[in-house]
Amino acid sequence: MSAPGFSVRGLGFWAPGYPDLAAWQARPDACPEDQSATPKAELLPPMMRRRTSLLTRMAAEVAAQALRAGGLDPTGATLVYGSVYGEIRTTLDLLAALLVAGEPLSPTKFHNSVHNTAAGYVSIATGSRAGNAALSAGRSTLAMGLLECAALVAAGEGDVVLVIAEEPLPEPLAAGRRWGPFAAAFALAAPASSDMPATTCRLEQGPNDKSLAPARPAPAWLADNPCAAALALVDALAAGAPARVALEPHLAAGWHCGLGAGA
Amino acid sequence: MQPYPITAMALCNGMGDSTAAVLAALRAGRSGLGPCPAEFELDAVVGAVPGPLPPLPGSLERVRDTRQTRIAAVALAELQAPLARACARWGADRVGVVLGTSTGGIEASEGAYAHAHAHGGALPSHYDVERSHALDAVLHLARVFGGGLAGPAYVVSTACSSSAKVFASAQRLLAAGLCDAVLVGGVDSLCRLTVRGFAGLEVLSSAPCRPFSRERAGINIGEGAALLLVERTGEGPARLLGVGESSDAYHMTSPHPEGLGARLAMERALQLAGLVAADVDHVNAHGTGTRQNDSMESQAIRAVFAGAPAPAVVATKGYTGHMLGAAGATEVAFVVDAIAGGYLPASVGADPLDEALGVDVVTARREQRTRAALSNSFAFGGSNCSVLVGGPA
Repeated sequence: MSAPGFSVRGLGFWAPGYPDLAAWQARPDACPEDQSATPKAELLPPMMRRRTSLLTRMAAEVAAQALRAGGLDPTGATLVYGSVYGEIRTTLDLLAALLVAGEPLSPTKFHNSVHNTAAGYVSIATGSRAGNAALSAGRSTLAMGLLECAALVAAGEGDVVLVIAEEPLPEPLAAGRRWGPFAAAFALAAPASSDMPATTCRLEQGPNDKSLAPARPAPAWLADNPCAAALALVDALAAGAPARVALEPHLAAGWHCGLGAGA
Repeated sequence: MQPYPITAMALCNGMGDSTAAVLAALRAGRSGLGPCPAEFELDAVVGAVPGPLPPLPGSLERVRDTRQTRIAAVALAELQAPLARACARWGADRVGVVLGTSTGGIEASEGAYAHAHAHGGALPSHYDVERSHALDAVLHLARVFGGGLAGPAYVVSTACSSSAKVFASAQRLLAAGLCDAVLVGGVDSLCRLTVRGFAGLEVLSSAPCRPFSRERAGINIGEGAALLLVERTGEGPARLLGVGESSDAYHMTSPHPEGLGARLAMERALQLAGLVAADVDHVNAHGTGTRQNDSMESQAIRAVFAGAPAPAVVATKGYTGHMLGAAGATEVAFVVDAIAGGYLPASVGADPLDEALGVDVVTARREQRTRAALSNSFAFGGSNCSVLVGGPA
């Protein structure tokens, strides 16, 4: 089965030590010295930004990068956010506060714990009244996010930005699962919808076997991030050559993204 | 957008643990609100699924037994036959799953965190963050109970609009040819985090909520599941016509005071369906019972219906409480039953009405046909959604 096609007009990327796509392309294997770095997220006004989590700042940062790179109108595009655990750090703070009987929960922490927190802040910052969405599908979050976006593009909803962002999972909930944070964004539009440079893409299903171009392995500090499949897609789109990328490499077969001439 | 038939649905919430019990209560005007179950140690009025909830089979590989998955299983068990029929008709890989939840398995995480706090960081043996807490755990349950549903499957989590927005995703997946049937709906369980969180926002009512009443004093939290099957073609009591989505771009928790985002969502639903306000007879309001929501929503309804006959406004959170991520789909299911039964349910708690709101709120059951109805859901982050449902073709 294949899905309607779309074009990718711009990318955004952030991880500790990698403030943008160019930095990631330049040396994508090096472990950052400062794992606690946070993005500038200049899209958010400072008064708003200081109340936000790493997840929301990463999402705002890469959304702004992709909107800019794709030449999209921030007030017109539909933003779709994908994350497995969402605002898990803020949620953990609330779980701790619940142990104190009778103590009211912080209203700010409470509304900052919802999965669509970044969607809310970014829409307030840009003034966009377009619909947005926040999704989760375990390790298939990238694939399902792209399907949602492909269906939005096919429905004529205009430009769409898919934002994928994942924080580290905090203890004690993590029970030893460890990964570094990163976020990536993909500015999508209908195929050949403008003169802007773009890569034509199509989503298809197939076996995750040797017929797929071997992806450069994710660096060890990001490899276990449940959204790590997005790293291979960023690399392939940045390279610009025709390729097929596995969006669900944890499965024996799943969704692929075909790029360029073969798409 | 093309309309699609709604061919089956299942519900459980404070009004009952089966679709039949819930709809009997709705038709009779009987509220499902009551005191919070003792195990939560919370002094609040809530809409809790009548217990005890049957435990899940122990053999499920990717899902743990939590309050949320038990509630989902109650509704899924009722849909096994229609889902099997859909898989046989369309192929299992053509049947998608798009579910809304606000908090997933957070109730399990509350217990696990307290256990770890008391036991040097050790989690209880039955808890696993990926299978107990994660938003997508309920998808695996739906796939198993559905007889191996293998189409696209994801959770939409936009707080209180989650399970309204799933209808927009489903309609687009069908229109794009990615699915031939989609199981949509929402599931949320009671938990301490939401009850105490809304208490911190000072919007909880200590008595049963009174949407659109001049005596309204805030919300009650509810729990439950609402699951609906939307198919490319088929026989059903109602059709999904269009879904409007918007953002307030105003505030994280307060709605736009004039209801601008709410108005945009309703207008967009009409536009996508190719209808006008005069085609709509009934609005199932978000109607939470806070002063702010009911005021802004009334303004939005009046603006959308300016120049058209005033629609009947029904608010059903006096039956269920605010089911958060399960509210949207529950209220769409209520609209489906109203269309099928040719009636408008009473808005329990609304009497005496706040006449200043200027909308025609149904305070006692009316025998009245609905051609098409809008069902509104609004959420934190300014996320708005309005689902337009009509009768069969």
